[in-house]
Formats: sequence, structure tokens, C-alpha cells
Amino acid sequence: MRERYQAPAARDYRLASLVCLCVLALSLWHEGFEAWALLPLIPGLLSLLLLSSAGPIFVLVLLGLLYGIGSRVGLGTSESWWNSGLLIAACLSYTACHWRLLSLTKQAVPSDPRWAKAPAHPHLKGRWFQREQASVRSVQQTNAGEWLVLLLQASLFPLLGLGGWLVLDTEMSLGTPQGVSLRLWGLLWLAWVVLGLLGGGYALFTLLRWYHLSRDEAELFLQDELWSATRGPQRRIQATIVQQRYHAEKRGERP
Amino acid sequence: MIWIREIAGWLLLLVSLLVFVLVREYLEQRWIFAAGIMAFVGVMIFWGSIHLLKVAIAARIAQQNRQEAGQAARSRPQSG
Repeated sequence: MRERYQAPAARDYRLASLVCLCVLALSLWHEGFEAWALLPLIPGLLSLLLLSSAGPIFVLVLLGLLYGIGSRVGLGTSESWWNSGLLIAACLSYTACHWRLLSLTKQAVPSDPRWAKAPAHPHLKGRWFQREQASVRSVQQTNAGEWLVLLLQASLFPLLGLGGWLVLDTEMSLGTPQGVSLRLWGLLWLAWVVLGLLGGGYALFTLLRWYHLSRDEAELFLQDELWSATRGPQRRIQATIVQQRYHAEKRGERP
Repeated sequence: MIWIREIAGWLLLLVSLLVFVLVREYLEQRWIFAAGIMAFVGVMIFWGSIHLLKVAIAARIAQQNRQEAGQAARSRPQSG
């Protein structure tokens, strides 16, 4: 773990996470949050030190709280477009860098508790693909392409978000538009009422049916949910493990 | 944990209803873009809340089943 933590790729992601957190705090400071701008830094820095996966969640929740409560108490009043874009880019990049750091040092995929139940029969050797320990990404697999993708994402998504916000702001600042066909608004109202009734009816009947499920139906539903929620990741994990074993065998190494 | 999921599901359902009330207010103002975005957000929250509730209810029923089966096995007289 220590070697992984000190590897150049892990060091780069750690530094990038730190820079993103600093940019985030500066951006909040610029928006007028004063000392409260440092608040998201605390869980961010702690989770970088402890390699905890809770960091990005707490940073995002604190940001939401700051924006939600701050506007009511007169904080964060000086908004600017470029600063909002910077904040979105810093937030997105911090989350990505932190998770990549975790995948290199602690876990990309958590350990599988079913390993304890794996049969120890020699015939079954090599057929139990899931790893006992939490799996980490190989440090050698990191490359410049990752950084390029991150840079593209960090510039494209804030632009898209700001574009949508601009349209919204323009629409709201124009006030209620006049001269729009009444028939169109009538149709929209009708759609709202019909969709509301359909949604309400669906919720009511689904929940009534669900509260009267038999035990077998409940267990079958849970199994089905588990399978559909995990089949994609399971397939990818097993494909990667089989591929690694194949290459190891080809090189004459013991898998 | 199952009860927390169920309560969270009902809370999310309430949030989705509030979002739909917001959509109605936007429609009154004739802000079509804002109403469209909020309608999408409302549908997603509504969908997620129903799914959370379904899983929580099914998990509760399955857990009750296991507890009752365990109690029945303990109360059964042992043979031999």
C-alpha cells in the first residue's frame, strides 16, 4: 500500500485533487462566502489523508448546503459566469481525481464476501474468478490518455451546464412571454394533468400491490434486482481477470 | 436499514411531488425551458423513489420470511 501511495501516478492525482480543492475554495471566496469557503476543504483534505471514499460526497453535500443556506443569509451574492464555470470544473475534477487516486491505492472494486464460501476442491481451482481482497488498478496502466479525457470532461461539462443556465436565466429574466398561442398552453396544461394522474395512479397501484407481495415474490424480485444491477460490472470484472490470466499464462507466469 | 430505505423512498416521493408543483408554477409563468428541465428532474426523482420503495418493501417481507423460518426451525422438536 505504501509503495502504491508513493507511486508517481498516485502522487499526480493527489496533487491534482489538492489543486482542485484550493480552486474550489478560492472560487467560493470570490463568490462572497468569506471564511465559509474553507468548509468543503475540511472533508476533502481529511479524505485525501485517510484515503476515504466519503470525501467527494461530503464536499458535494457541503457545497449544496452553502449554496442553499448562503443565499438566505446574504452569503455568496457576487455571481459571475466564469467563476461558476471554474467552480463546476474544480468540483468535477476533484471528484474524478479522488476516485482515481482511491482506485490506485486502496480499492477500485471492493472485496467480495462470497470468497469465504468458495469451495476448496482442487477441481474448482481457477474457476472462482472474484478476488478475495479489494482489487486495485495497476499503477502501470495509468497513461496520458486519462488526463486528456479528464481535461476534456472538465472543460466540456461546465460549458454545457453554463449554456443551459444561460438559456434558463434569459427565459426567466424576460418574464411571462406574451403572444404565445393559448392552445399550446392549454395542451401543456392538459399534458401536466394527464401525466400527473398517470404518475399518481402508477405509484398508488404499484405500492398497493407491493405491500401485498407474497414472500416468494419478494425474494424473487430482490434476486432479479441484484442480478440486473450487478451483471454489467460483474461481466467487466470477470473479463478483465480472465484477460490478465490469459496474458500471464502466455508470458509463462503463474496466474 | 430497511426502514431507513423505506422512509427515504417516501421522502423522495414527496420531493418529486413538490417538483411537479414547481413545474405547474413555471407553466403558469410560461417558462417552457425551465418547466421542461424541472419535469425531467421530477420524473427521475419519482422513478427513483418508487424503485427504492419497491426494494425496501420486498427486503422487509423477505427478512420477515427468514426470521419466521428461523423461529420455526428452532421450535421444531429435534429427532434422533
